[in-house]
Amino acid sequence: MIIGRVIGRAVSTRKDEKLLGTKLLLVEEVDPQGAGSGDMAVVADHLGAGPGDVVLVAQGSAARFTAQTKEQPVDALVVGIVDTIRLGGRSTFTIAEGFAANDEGPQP
Amino acid sequence: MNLGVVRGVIVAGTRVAELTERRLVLVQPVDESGADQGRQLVALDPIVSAAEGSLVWFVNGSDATDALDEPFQPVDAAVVGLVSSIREAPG
Repeated sequence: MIIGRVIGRAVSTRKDEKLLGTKLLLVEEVDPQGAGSGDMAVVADHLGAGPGDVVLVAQGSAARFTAQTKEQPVDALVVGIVDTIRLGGRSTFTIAEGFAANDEGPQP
Repeated sequence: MNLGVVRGVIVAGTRVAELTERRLVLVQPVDESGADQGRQLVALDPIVSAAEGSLVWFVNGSDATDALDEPFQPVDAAVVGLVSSIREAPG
């Protein structure tokens, strides 16, 4: 999985009907310190993640291994909302305070 | 399969119901000499409970789900073993 920061929402009115009701998020991959890689992906979400949230994204066919995405044409899915990241015995991220090194906080 | 070093631990309490394995680790892929190769990734660690600093091997892509007791979890990377030693073949 990759760590990503939700930076927006993709809205599509004309789409495969199997995707009706599925929220699509725009997610930027970040490193464990919170620095953005510049790589973006459109990611399906059934957990209710929103802008600023730090999420775990499963890619490839793994994205279809849930009840909601089983028959859907998706290749990236939010599988978790990150609470903490610990690196070398030190906390680099908590859901309450954001990234320690990269103090951007939740974005509007 | 790939070699990696466990660099950290991630907790994600809000998760899809199908993801039942608890332990998630940050893995830095490395080559056989231990040099970093590419970006860190998050993998499930269902078997070995690798400590930070451990050299492990991991699988990614759809193979990862086969490493779990309950297959078909939405997982694209899993730690499958702790590396005890690496020997280069002579010649």
